Amino acid sequence: MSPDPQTARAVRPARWFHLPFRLLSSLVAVLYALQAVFAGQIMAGTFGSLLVHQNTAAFTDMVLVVTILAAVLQRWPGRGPLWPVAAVPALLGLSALQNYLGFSRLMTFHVPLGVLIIVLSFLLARRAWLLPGAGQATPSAEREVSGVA
Amino acid sequence: MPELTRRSLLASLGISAVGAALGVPLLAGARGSSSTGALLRSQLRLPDPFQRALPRPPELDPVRSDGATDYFEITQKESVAELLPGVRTAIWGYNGIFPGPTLVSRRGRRAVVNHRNTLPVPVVVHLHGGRTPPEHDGYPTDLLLPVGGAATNGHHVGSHNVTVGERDYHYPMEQRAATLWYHDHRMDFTAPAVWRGLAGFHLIRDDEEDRLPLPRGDREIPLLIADRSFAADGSLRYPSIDSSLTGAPGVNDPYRGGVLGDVMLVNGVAWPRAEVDGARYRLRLLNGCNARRLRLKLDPAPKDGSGLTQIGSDLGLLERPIRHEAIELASAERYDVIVDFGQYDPGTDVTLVNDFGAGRTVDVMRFRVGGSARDDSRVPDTLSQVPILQRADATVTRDLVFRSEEIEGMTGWTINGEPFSPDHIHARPRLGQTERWRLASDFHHPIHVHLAPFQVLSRGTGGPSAWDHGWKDTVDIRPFEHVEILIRFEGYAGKYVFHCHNLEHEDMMMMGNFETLA
Ligand SMILES: [Cu+2]
Repeated sequence: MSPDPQTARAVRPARWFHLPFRLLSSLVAVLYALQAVFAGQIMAGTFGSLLVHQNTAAFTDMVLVVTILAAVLQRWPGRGPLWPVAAVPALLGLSALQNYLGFSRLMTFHVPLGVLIIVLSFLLARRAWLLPGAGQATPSAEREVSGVA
Repeated sequence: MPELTRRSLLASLGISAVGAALGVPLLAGARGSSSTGALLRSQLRLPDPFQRALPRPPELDPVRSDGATDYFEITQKESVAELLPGVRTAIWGYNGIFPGPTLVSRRGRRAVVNHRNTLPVPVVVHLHGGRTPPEHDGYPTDLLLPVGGAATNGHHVGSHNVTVGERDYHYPMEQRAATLWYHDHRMDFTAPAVWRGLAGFHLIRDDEEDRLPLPRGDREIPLLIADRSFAADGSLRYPSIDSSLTGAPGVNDPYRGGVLGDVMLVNGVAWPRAEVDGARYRLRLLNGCNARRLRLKLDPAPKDGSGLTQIGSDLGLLERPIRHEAIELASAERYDVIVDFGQYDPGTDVTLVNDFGAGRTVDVMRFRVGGSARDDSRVPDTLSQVPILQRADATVTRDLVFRSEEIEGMTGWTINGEPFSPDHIHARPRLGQTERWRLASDFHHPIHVHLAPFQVLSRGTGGPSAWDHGWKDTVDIRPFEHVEILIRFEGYAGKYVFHCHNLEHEDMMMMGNFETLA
């Protein structure tokens, strides 16, 4: 007897379409934390760290763009919540503002916003891992997936 | 679960709101500090601005000249000046005036300047921007003791180059036309000595510059801009630990970061005014402040926008003029600019303002534009030939970090963690070679290298700023900024200093040595 098709569709995509969002949002959090390390190196007078700081900012923004796609995937077809689809672009917006502040040497805002972004990115990653999905897939769903593959 | 995440999203937004609330107090200081230092307030009522005429420091005639040399004589002495209208202020001056007399030399003609010291303290004279043999460069311990050989207490006389009463400084002047300036450079006490008035212009002219149709004569004006503060009795106020300037060096807190005055002097007069023709003028701008950075512009701007056409940097003409709406100058930097007052209607009041100032330090001076006048001058598209040094030209790369550190329980200013010592050599460059120095700083540090001219290669992760072009001897480094410069070592073998030109930082140890090798 095959599983109810409705249930299979509800559970089957959840696992695979949540994982990229989880991994990428975690990567974003790690990258932002690294930015604090590079900022510290700049203050310590380590030459080259400013360029690394700038390049990491650009790379993080690219990762964020991909994370937006992952957020969309976990919603459609992943059936995850809608909020990541808004939260990740919002973080990217803050990141763009942060880049502007950095290039403009507006350190009085750049540093506190950096702290805020790190906090928000860790909250985002934590929430991503608390989403329903992995570990809740039923054995039948597993079979279904293998069957498809 | 979705309820929880929504709540946590709200919590995140709440955190953002708290962040925003914290940010509100920051708004007042949004751009941070434009200068490193603390404001020292005057204790008397400050005059209205633009009352007194802008003086031009007198040119000093040589006492004699021969085929190759001009001989000058200067007496350093205590005197009284009228810096504020109707107020008598005791100063230390070259020939008793502030700024000191302007010396004018021609490229290739040696200048020998005899300095006689009648001040109560030792002095050292440095020609800033000069390509000068080491024994005449004003090394900080090469003291010229007062006439009669007074007190040397508080000094480390580790130098054989100490003289009593008077001495000659020899300047070969084998260098391009430029706006140089001379000022005191005694170890530990440069800042208060310059504050009291020991600074003046020394211009170099040459044929190349003379051939250009630039404004000259009355329409060429050197402007020494300096902030100062005054005590209630009209004397110059300065927070020295020992005001005799013979004992403990340095300043009291909170002025260790630099002393910022609340009166803007131009050529020794507070907020002066100048009547100008409706014609082009050449202004040689010098930031003579101990610590204050300036962002100068004309208010109102001329009809076509960019009021300041830069033709020269610290060390002479640019290759091509650069038009600026505003110019940022750190201590000791010079900008040679052309202003066309013909762009204004007759009768217009044009104020030279300092965007970095606040309150009384916004206004610097005022020009009253007269009727249009005959003007044969112009600014050529090509001014000079300035070879651009390349990264690959550098044979040696050195890293230098300028920052505040604890030294023996006191906060001091260091280079690579070292306070100044005449015995510690940071670099031994070979003459004829180019070096790349990577400079990093914690606060604002205008870094000045003696003897060797340099070009700015990069600032942050980009190229030079709009104000970094041309040959320079001082570079403005902002907080946590990294700047690369390419230095061409030429001239004379020997020991020279490089240092922060925030004079309080310099006195509090932010100086190092390099020794050029033949
Ligand atoms: Cu400094």
